[in-house]
Amino acid sequence: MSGRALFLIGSPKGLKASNSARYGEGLATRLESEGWTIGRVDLHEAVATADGSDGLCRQAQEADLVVLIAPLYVDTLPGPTLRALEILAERSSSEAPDRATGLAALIHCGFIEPAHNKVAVALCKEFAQQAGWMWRGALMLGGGGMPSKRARSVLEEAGDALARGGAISAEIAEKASKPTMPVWLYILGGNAMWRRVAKKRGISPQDLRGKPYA
Amino acid sequence: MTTKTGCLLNGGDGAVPPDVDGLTETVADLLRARGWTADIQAVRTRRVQPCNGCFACWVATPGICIIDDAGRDIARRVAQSDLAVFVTPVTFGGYSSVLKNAVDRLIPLILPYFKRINGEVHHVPRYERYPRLLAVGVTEEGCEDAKDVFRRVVERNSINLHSPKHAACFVHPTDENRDAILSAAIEEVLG
Repeated sequence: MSGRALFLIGSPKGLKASNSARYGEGLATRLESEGWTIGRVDLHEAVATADGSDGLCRQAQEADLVVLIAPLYVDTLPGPTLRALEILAERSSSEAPDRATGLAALIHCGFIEPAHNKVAVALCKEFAQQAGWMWRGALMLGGGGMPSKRARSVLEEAGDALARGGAISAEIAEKASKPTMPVWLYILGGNAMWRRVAKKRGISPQDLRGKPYA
Repeated sequence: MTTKTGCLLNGGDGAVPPDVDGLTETVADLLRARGWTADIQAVRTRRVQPCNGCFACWVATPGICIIDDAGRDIARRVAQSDLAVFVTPVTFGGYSSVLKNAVDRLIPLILPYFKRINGEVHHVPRYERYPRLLAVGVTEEGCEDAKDVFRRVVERNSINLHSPKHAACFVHPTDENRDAILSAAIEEVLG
C-alpha cells in the first residue's frame, strides 16, 4: 500500500533542528521506501498565520495518514501544537471529509521514563475521536532525544506497520516503553549535563538555583 | 495576617458560550468571599509568545524566561500566589491552546535537575513553596473520556509544578448549580 503521509512537527525547533523532526525521518524513511509521498509541516510556523493554517488544513485533508510528532511540554502538547489540533478539529467538523484521515502520534520527553507521555497520547487520541479521524496508534519515547538502538528499531517497525496501512500496535509501543538506561544513571548524567551547560554560559551551580520570584 | 492571593488564568477565547470570562469572575467572587485577593489574567488579552524550548530559563537566566512578554509576568504572578486557578474549555481533554501557551511558560519555576518523586523522575523544585492548583474545565455534559484525560493532566501538572494540593472540576455552559460545583472544588483544594 502507498499513499500520502503528512508529518506534523510540534517542536518549536522546527523541521531542521528538532528531535521531533529526527524521529519523524526515522518513520518517513520506511514509508518512502514503500512508495508513500511525504509532506512535512512546522506547526509553530503554520499556526502563526492564516495562510499557514489554511495550508495545514489543506495538506491534512489530502493526506491518508497524519503523523503528529511533538515533545512533551508540561505534561501535554506544546501550546502551538494544541492550536493546530483545534484548527484541524474545527475544519474537520465544518468540511465533512470523504474518507477518514488516519492519525498516528509520537510523543517524546526529557525524562527517562517514556510513561510520562501517556496523558499527551490520550489527548491525541481524544482529538482523533472528536475530529472523526482514525486512530493509528502511538509511540512514546523518553531520554531527551538521546539516540538509542531500541528507538531506531522501534521507529522502523512502526514505520513499516504504518506503510502497510496498519497501526502502531501495542506490541511495538511496548518495546519503546521502558527506560533505555538505569534511572539513577540518567539522573546523575542529566544533572551533570545541566551544570556543564550552565557553566558554559557563565552560570554557577549556586546561581542556577536562583529564586527571582521568592 | 497576610491576605492570600489566587492567580486565575482565564484560558477562554472570548466566545460566549461557553463564557469562560463569566466563570472566571464567579471563581474570583467565591475567593473574595473567603477574604482572598483575586488576580485575574485573561491570557488571550495579553501577549504570550509560545515557549521556544531554549532552556535559557534554566541555564542562562535562572528562573526567568528569556522572552520578555506577558508570559514572564504571568509566571511571576503564579509563583507568588497561594492558589493557581486554570479556567479553560476542556480541549481534547487538556487545556485550551491559549492557556497552554501560558502554562508552558511556567517551567522557569522549577529547576532543570532531576530527582525521583514517588518512584518517577521529575524536576527539582526551585522554590520552597508553590501554589495549590485548581483547574476548572468547561465542557458539555457527558464527554467522560475527555474529563478523565483532564483529571490526569491536572494531577500530572500538580506533580511537575510541585503544587501541594490540587483539584479539578467541570462546569457545563448551562449549569444552574455551577456556583455550588465551584464552591465545592475550592473547598476541596483549600481544605
